[in-house]
Amino acid sequence: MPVFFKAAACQCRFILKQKGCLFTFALLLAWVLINFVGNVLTFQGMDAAEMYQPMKLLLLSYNRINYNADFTLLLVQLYPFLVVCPAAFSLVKERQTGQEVLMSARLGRFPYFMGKLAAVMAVTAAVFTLPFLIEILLNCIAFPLNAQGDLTNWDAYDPDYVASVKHYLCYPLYLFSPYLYAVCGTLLFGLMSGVLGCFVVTFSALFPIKYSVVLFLPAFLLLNATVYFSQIQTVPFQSGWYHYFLLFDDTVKSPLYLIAGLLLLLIVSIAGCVWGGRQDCLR
Amino acid sequence: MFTLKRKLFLIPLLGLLFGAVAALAFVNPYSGAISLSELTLQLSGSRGEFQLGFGVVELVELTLRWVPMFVFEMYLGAELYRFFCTASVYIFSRTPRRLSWYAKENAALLLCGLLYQAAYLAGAVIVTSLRYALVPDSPGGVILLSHLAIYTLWTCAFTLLVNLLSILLGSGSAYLIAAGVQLAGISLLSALRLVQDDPARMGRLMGLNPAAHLVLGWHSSADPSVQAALHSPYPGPSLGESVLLTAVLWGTVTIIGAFLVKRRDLLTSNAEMEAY
Repeated sequence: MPVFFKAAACQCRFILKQKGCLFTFALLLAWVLINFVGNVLTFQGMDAAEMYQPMKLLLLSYNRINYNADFTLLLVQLYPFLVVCPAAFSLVKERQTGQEVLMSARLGRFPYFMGKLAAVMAVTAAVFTLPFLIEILLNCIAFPLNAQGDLTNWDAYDPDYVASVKHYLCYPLYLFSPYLYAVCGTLLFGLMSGVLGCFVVTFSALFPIKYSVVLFLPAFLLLNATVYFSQIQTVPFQSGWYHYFLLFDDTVKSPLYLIAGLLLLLIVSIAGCVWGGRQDCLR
Repeated sequence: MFTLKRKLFLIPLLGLLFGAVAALAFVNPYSGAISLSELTLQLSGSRGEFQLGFGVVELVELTLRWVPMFVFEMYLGAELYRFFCTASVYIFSRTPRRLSWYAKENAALLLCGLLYQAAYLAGAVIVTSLRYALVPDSPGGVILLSHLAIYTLWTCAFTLLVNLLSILLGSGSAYLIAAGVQLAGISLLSALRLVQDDPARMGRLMGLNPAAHLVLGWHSSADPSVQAALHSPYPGPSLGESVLLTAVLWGTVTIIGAFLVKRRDLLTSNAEMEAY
């Protein structure tokens, strides 16, 4: 066990310094800051009684589609590619340079693979959480905390609005505190990104990958398949990934579908890595 | 060319599969019958009889329609690039005329793109004719061929771009740039809602954004029957202009690529091995 933690920590420190990780973090931070500045310039001077809830102005807020969601749209489109960038290439790179053989010899193949999985999950989750948490903090500083408006401009007691709020994931948390809901939703977003990163690393552990472009395929196809599914099959809930990843989404969702999907991905990732860990290094 | 020959079976199969999925996901006539022109328009962004709007949900669905192109770019994004990876000095010592090699590989890539898009449309047409009554119409033939030409040239241009950028930056970064440019184009389409009341300005903005040329429902035509089939409420470009634009795009990437391939120093480090 101590070897596993040391391997994970060492790999975390290494991956955090890589160009892909730094680039993704910088891109997301820039995006978030542009969105924040845009909100400030648009809503400065607005009366607190009319002002929208600051958390509904976040980049991750689905509620923005009722107002101006250009940056959110770009994030939704680029996310299947970006989720791979921070850490999912690391195993392929180490295999190409021969570092995999060295690390497997020093740590043991199983601790190395499981450490890699944990490191990818932690780094991807961190990269996809921190910029959005920073935005939450900035919004709390810049906008009135008692503002309650919704971007649909529905009245707070409108029956349609009340019915739509009940479709938020963990809506009792939203009713308790929209700020806590936003923080938890962002952490969940980071966690889901980490699981996707793990899935891609498992793919690279199981199949020989010569060109890193192929690693965009698993996450891209998986995420788009969830959206295709809702287009093809009539189901009583939304299956598209962005309905679960974004905050304040008022479409009908199934928490069971989300939990089952995440658990399945995690189990497949761990099982795949265990199996990949038993393969010969020199194939 | 050798690995492309091996993929010549798989590429049309992939196209057929995506075409079938697209037909199931996007082709939904209100009545039990659909014309060929309406089918083609729905494959490029229209929802039923309505043209693509500028809302977030509609543009996300447009991105879904581009998934087959992204997969093709991923699949063949290293076809030329792999010659510049390991053993490039050996390969190009046996192939001293690089431009001739480049022209042949580019032609093969174009052929694969054409096969892929043709199979995609064939798959969509076959599945639709099994589900609904497909009514062939003469404007439908023109719109279908335009769709084939525009999407083939666009896909081949960006696949070639991925290959060329890979030589400089590695395949991962190259693909991210090429996909990012395309997705930014789609995102910029949402800005058209700001000029909806000014048709002249809207027409100019549409013409400037290459992504708008792939939305056939926004096009116009001098032919009255094709114009009636397109029934675009916006002053979009003509089908001929879009074919020309995508051809110019492909030609530009090809010419720039020729310079890069000819002048590339083969003794520089392998971009694929650089730390990411």
